[in-house]
Formats: sequence, structure tokens, C-alpha cells
Amino acid sequence: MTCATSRRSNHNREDALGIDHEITDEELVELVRDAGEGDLRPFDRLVERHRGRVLANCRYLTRAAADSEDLAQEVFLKAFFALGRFEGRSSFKTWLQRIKINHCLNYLEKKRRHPSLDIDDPDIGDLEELHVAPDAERRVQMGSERERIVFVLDSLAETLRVPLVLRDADGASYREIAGELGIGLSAVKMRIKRAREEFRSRWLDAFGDPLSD
Amino acid sequence: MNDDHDRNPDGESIDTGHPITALRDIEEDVSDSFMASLNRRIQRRMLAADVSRLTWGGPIRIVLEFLSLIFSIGGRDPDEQKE
Repeated sequence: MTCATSRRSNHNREDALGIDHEITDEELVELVRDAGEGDLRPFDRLVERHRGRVLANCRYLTRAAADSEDLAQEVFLKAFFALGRFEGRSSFKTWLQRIKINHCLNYLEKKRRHPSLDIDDPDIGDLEELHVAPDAERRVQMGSERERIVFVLDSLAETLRVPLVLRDADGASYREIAGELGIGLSAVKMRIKRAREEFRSRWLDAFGDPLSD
Repeated sequence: MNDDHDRNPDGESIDTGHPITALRDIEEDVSDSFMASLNRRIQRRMLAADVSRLTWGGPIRIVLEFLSLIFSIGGRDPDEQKE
């Protein structure tokens, strides 16, 4: 679905809910609080506004295609039950972003500590993520820029991919990234510099044309 | 301190290069069942919270009522008791 179509369908749904298109996220948060627990419509509206980006970021941060929708839902679930603590000192988008980053980094940490692949499992061959087409074939299938971005991001090491996504997709500051990852400011900048260079170089290698910035 | 240019411990300036702008506004399409599934999860969580509140709330209320009854008997005015 294109952005324009998606926006139009969101507006139609807002009409059906009787919610003004121009209403800000923070005003919607107030509506959620006023509506009480029974009426989820104002919260649905907030989710509809942010779900595409939250899902994309969960996907790119964790590289977990199969789990990313589940992760995105858990981010919204946490946000819903924490809305009472949202004080409006930052925008709702920034607040939601912080929940998402923490949740995805926790997921990565858990995966590192408990790798769940059992090589003695007789059904291991049925796992979808192990059925990887050869690179050349995958590249031919990649029509859209988004698919190409996912391909290049997935090829980056986690130490480069995570700071790059936090900086260039989420717009987090270097200090925030340093705090989230528990590393120094200079290390963050070095990683982002290397990640950007690697991203551009791998894009060129994979698709033959330089990335249009 | 400039956010884009910092000095590493050796005193060299770190230029992080140009951002990958293609990442900036990228979105993924969610499945049709995303909203319904999220709403179900929220309602399940609310139901669980209500059940746990009732489970704890009932006995606590009974104890409080009992204590207030004891205090109300023990704290009664002696003149009032003679009458």
C-alpha cells in the first residue's frame, strides 16, 4: 500500500470514529485517558498513526522478520498500560520510540543469552528462516527500494546495524544511543560512521548503482 | 559539543558522514489482523488485572471491615456503654 493510499484510508477511519484529522498525538492521549478502559478507539487511532514505523524499526533493529509484528504489538501494549505515566515532557512519538528501543534491545539481549536453535531438532529443516535463496536470486526478486534496504541492513553486523537504525531511522541523538547501548559517545560515532560506509558499499556491490541520498 | 563532530581520545575529529536518508521515513505494512490482535491482547491484560484486583481486594476488604468493627466496639464511649 502506498503512503498516500494508507493516509486516505486512515482518514476514512478517523471519520468513522468521529475523530478530527488534525488532532495531535498528545490530544489523542488525553482522549484515551478520558475514554477509560472500555473504549479503545482513540488508542486505535494512535496505533494506526505509528504502527508502520514501529513495525519497520522493530524489523530492522532485531532482523527478526517472523517476530517483528509480535514485537510491535508488545510495544503498543506496553505504551497503553504506561499511558498514565506519560507526562508530555517529550512528544508522544519520542516517548513511544523509547519504549520500542528498550523493548527491541531487550529482545536482542535475550536472544544472545538464550539462542533457541536446537540442531538436534528433527524439524529444523522446516524452519522458514533457514530457507535462504542464493544472494543473486534474492537480488533479482528485490523490486522495491524497501526490499533492497532490508537486504543490505540484514547483511550488517548487529554492532553496526543497531546504532545505524537508531540514528538514521529513529533519529535518536548520539548521547541517547550511547546511553541505550552502554558504550561511549566516540564509540557510537565510530560505529555509525562505519555502518554508513558499509551500508553504501554493500548497496553498490549488491545492486550496481550507488544509493541515491 | 557538536553532535556530528566529536573528538576521539586521540584528539582526532570524528565525522560520521552523511545519514542514510532512505531509512528516515521508511514504514512496513502491517497485517490485516494487527489491530484486532492488539485489541484482544489489551482486553486480555485488562481482564487479568481485574481478576487479580478482585482476588486480592475481596479478602483485604473483609479484614479491614473486621478490624474497623473491633475498633468501633473497643473505642466506644464508657458513658454510652453504661446507658
